[in-house]
Amino acid sequence: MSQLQQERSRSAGQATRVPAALATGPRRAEARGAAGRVFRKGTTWLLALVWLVVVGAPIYYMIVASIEPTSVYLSANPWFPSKGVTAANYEAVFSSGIVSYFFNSVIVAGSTTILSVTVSLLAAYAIVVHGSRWTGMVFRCFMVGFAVPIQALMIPLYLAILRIGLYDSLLGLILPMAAFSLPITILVLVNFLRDVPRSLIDAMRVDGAGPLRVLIRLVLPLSWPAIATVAVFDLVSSWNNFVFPLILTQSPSQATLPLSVFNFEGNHLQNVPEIMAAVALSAVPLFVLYLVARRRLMAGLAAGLGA
Amino acid sequence: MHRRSGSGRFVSRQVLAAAAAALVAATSLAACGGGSSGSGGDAITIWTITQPSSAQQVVVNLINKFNKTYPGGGHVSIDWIGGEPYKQKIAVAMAGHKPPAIFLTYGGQLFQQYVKAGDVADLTSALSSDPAWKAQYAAKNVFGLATFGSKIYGIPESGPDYELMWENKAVLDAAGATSAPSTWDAFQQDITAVQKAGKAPIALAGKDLWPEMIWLQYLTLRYGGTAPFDKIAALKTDAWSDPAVVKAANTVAQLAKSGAFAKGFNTVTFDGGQADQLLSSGQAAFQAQLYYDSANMRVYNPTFAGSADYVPFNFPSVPGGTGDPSQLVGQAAEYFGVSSHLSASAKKEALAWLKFETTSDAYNLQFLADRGYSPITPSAAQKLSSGQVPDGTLLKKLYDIGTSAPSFQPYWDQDLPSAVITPMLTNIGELFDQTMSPQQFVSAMNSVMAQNQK
Amino acid sequence: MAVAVGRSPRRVRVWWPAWFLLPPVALFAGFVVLPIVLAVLLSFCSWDGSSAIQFSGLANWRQFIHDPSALAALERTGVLVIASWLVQVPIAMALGIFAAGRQRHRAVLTAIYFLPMLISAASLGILWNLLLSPVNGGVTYASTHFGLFFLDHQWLSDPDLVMGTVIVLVAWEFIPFHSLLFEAGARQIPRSIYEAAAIDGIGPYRRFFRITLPMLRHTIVTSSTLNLVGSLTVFDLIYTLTGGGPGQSTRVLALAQYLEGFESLNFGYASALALVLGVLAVIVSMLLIGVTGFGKMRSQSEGA
Repeated sequence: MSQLQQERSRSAGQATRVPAALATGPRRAEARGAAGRVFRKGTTWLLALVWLVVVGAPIYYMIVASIEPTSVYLSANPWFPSKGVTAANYEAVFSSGIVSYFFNSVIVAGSTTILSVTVSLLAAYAIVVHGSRWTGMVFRCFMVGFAVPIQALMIPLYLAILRIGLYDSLLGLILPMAAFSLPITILVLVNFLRDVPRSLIDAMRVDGAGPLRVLIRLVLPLSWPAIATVAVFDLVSSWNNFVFPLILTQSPSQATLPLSVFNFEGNHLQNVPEIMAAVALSAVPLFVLYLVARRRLMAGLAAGLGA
Repeated sequence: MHRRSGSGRFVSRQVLAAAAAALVAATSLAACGGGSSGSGGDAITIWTITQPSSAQQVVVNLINKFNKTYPGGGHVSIDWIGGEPYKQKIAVAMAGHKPPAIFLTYGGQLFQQYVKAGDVADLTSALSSDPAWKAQYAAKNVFGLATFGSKIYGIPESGPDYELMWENKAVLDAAGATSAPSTWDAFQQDITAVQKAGKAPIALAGKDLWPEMIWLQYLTLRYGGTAPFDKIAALKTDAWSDPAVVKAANTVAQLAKSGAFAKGFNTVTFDGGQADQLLSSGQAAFQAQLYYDSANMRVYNPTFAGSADYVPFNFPSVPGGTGDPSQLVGQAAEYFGVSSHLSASAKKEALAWLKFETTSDAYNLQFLADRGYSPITPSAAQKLSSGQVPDGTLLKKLYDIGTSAPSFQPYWDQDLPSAVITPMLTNIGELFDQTMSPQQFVSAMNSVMAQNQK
Repeated sequence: MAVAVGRSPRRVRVWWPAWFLLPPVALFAGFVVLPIVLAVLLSFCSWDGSSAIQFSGLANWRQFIHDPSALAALERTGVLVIASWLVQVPIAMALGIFAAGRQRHRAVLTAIYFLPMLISAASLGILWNLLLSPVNGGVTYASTHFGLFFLDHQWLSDPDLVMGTVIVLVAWEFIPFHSLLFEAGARQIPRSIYEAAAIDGIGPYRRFFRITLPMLRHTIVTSSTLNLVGSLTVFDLIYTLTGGGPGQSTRVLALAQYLEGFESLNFGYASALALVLGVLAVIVSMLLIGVTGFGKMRSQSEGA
């Protein structure tokens, strides 16, 4: 058994050291367990299917709306394109310059995520491993940035970006967006970093490793699920963020994908099928990335912790 | 632990580092190539609300032509911004006193605020020095909502913008009701007949709240003329107790109670076409809407938009009403404002562009009329019936109604202080939902007046 | 200041925390703290967004305490926050544990479960407004044509139902993220513990309460903190779904501060309302950190 698992068993041992009174004989437990297992498995899959409908139905509805002509989407059967389909909505989206928006979104969302996660990892490591009173205070200070609604900060932020000359640039998007995702990222990383056994860290330091080395060689691989999770969240929220690009950029050359969705919202005319097409297209790259990353993630985890 | 040395099982560190480096490089390049900083220098950027790409192309072609032919080369460019975020974006720009060179505005009190802050250019002298330009507009008092202290601050961007009644004649015929009722009694009879036939009398886009406001505004206008709103605009603390306003509120409550508005109206939208769908599919008979409802209808139900069943008519008169039954709610134009922070030569160019754009047939017919908006110039209006634009005859009819109106009463949500508009719309919503009685509505609005005394 | 266990000989252990903390603190201070400070200052002023800013002392704060509309918004926010937590955390936990399981089919399902996260909140509002619309809405259609009679209500129109609808839709939007957190947390629990428990003859329910739940303790705290604080600022979905209506039935404080700012042009008062949310968020997260021993920063796998 790996050392980590030894550690975990030792700590979890309290939970598994159950008094004899609770344990029953093996065969009786088995018989009772079989019936219970079927019931539990059945219920689990039933609930999973219910949730599948709850999640899948609106998404399906969105896709149906995106392939219907605007002139019939309100009169056709909502669940089936009974009055014909069209590619016109997707054509409209492509001809609105979506390719350049896409590249800008990749740069902005990607850089924001990398910056946020890297910087947060440094902070979380310092807070957890060093664990002194003043790092605890710094941690609390980050929590302050949590829930002031962005609308209240829009004008001050705009003025600040304008003053430092980053208005209408991608960098002027990346820096504030990364800054605003710090509280959540640090919170999640701090939570997961706390589960890295202290003894391992100390062992490494006794061997003479500096903090950077410990971070990269030990903590990083161990907290990979957490880092991946929070990176996914940062990526998705910066990908879909439209308030910052709206306020901090104006040239079409600096626009990101969420702004493209607004291209279909004119003066009292909201072309819903085109909007749904834009939303669907905007979600596809992220979904593909998720599928790819998930396979690698699961492969890594299976080899790492479970064995 | 074997995991400590190798990291090939996870995304390899080299790949991550390379990706990060690439992103940083791309970002720095992008940051260097960033756009202009607002309205600096001689660049003339226009901010306006987004339109379908074919319409956008018309303006872009005009811009290219202007930039080529303007002496010394033109510097005009345009940013199209979505309808809902437009107001936020302008507000933020104005807060930083960095308005774009040219921007779309409804005029009225909000625009006046920007004027007072000194961010909008005074165009009076430029217009007086070009009398032909100034006199070519057919609508009466065309500069009305952009004129403050007898100085003009806006150039008309489109023709008259007003509200009227629309009906689906087929529904009325099937129910045995009269088309285009001109009196309230006839209108009520129609409502009863339509309800008996199992249809909803009135389609109402309640979620947006301003369509509800239009009912209240028109009823007040019919009952009492323009005087009641003058009191409201002056923020008199008992303005809403005016008998005309009270009668209007009671009428609204009675309509709502009798189920005249289609079910679930307070979540129905206009922008997404839901209210239009009710009318065009025959589920409702009437809708009080903007004159360019026909433009939306063309998108959502082209067959109905072009049919003879889709009929506009003036809001009915009311019994005992002192208001002029031909008066319209609306405004003579929407406007382009010009930033006051432009250099003299840039301002000259901006005005030259505006004249060039708004007097061209391409703009009037292919940009405005093609999408159902009233053109600005009479010469373009003459060409409406020639078949160049879809529904040209209907548009000409709407244009004539708009330009022959002696005056307009501005939309209540354009000509009041912003701090009054939001509670007003909310309270109107509650009046229509019947969660507020007319008396409660009146006293609630009077206290809003009291809170906002200048 | 140095609290490190063990005998690391390097001097670097004394100053490296500062070096690690400098980039995040600088970034945060410049782009978040500075605007927040400006917003705080603005809450003591009155400003319409273009004229000069005028100092007004405690006027906005006094107005807040006496404003029935703002207080009602605060109450609605409280309802939303608590209900969201009660609804989202259990479901997200169940989904996360489910997703951490081994079967291949689970991977397909969890991929689909992830989809709501990819749609921006504003577009979700448009989508759901359409689905629940009385005009050819999908849910309306399903309630009459698919026999799902329990769906036949005015979900957005009825002021008594609409808040519940909002709670459900906000849950729909955020559960995918929280289930990711729980999945990551559940994956950190080694199988060997469960195997050992099974050998000891411990039933599945006890396994859940004695093993899973305690080992997810940190994740529960993280998810709860993010959930409670995140619900305070939910805006885009509600704004495009109902605009705060019907009437004021869904006007939570996040909407109220937007309407006061960008619609009523009362930016001073709007800042005050926004800060109320910020203060609430700080209190909530501090409480959670304090009460659950988060501040002690100890690994939960160390012995007691």
